[in-house]
Amino acid sequence: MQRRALNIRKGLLRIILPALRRLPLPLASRMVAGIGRTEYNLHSELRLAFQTAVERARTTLGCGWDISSTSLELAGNQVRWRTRDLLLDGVSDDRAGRMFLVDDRRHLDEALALGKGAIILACHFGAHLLPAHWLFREKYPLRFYMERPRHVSKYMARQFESEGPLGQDKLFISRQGDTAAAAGSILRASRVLQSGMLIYIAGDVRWAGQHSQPATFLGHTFHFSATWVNLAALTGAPVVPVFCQMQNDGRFHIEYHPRFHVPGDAVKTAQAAHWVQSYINLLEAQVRQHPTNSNEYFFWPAEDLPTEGETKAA
Amino acid sequence: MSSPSLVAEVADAVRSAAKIPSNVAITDNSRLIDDLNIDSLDLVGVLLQIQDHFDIVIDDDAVPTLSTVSDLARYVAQQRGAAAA
Repeated sequence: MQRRALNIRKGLLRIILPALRRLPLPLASRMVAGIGRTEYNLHSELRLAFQTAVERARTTLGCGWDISSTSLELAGNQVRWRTRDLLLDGVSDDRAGRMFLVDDRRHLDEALALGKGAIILACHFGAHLLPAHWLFREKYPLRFYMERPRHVSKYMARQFESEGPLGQDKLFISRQGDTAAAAGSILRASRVLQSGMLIYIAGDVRWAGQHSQPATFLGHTFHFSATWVNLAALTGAPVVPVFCQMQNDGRFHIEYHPRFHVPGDAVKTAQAAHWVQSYINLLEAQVRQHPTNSNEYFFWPAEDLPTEGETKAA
Repeated sequence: MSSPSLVAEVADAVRSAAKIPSNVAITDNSRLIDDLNIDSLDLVGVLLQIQDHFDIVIDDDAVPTLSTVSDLARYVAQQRGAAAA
């Protein structure tokens, strides 16, 4: 979608979100999705782009999704996804808590009880920042290890204000960082884990730099950051995958998956690629099951398609 | 200044942690990243090894200043001195 249209929507959301928060939150959440569905119905080009992307993914995965309804719901959910956790800003813990359905929290608590901290392996599927919001509300000791997320709630921004050796600020990473900065950052993250805290990291970040690994996703090969594999191998911390679906009733369904451990030698062998692919397979299974929560995945440009020059040369 | 024996001990730790082949010379002026081709993960391994071996804690913020073997040795000497004081 054109940047101008995105900015108009962002401005609109900024104006109406305070009013929406006064409504029952599941209804407000459905109304945010309604903005995306309205855009979909009004713009024929947008509709075609969604339908083409969904059809392509359906063919690749061999699924039986209905293209029209999946495309419509996906368009609605994309706006909920882009709204991040803003709908829950300034909302009491009690009201916010009722927006979440949480399955298998025991996987998280059992992992933490091991005393090595835990890596919460998230991604950009569904409401990708809402598990972190829930963890903060539930008072889990949490640090992000990723690029600083933008346009988050004031509530979440306040959680980022921690300082000191285990503070959040220095754990936000930059794609421009050099080797020494990257090493200092990994060392810092490992100390956070050693102190028994949670590290929230994304497993689906496409990455061109050091320590990326190829994996097949939606029929194409992409290079993904293997930082979570390296951190898990270095520290022995358990890894707990989490997914959060945006439900049709407006609420958020958080699912914790069983923990696993990455062996210490994974970083020195071809094992890192195996672990990255394993996680991407888990993500792809979620996409198969809940295509309307796939956000931008169906629109990712394929890395492995031949360039124009290669096509001509062939 | 750090003693030649400390520099040699640090160099051994670097070689062992980063698996630097024995035919590659490590001197006090060897740059960890540019000369020894140590990447970020190996550098973390080196730092952890140095911490364990010398029983010190390396401050995360100091990592970008530890460019050479002699930088590392100097840092180890400072930390040991601080601990002894």
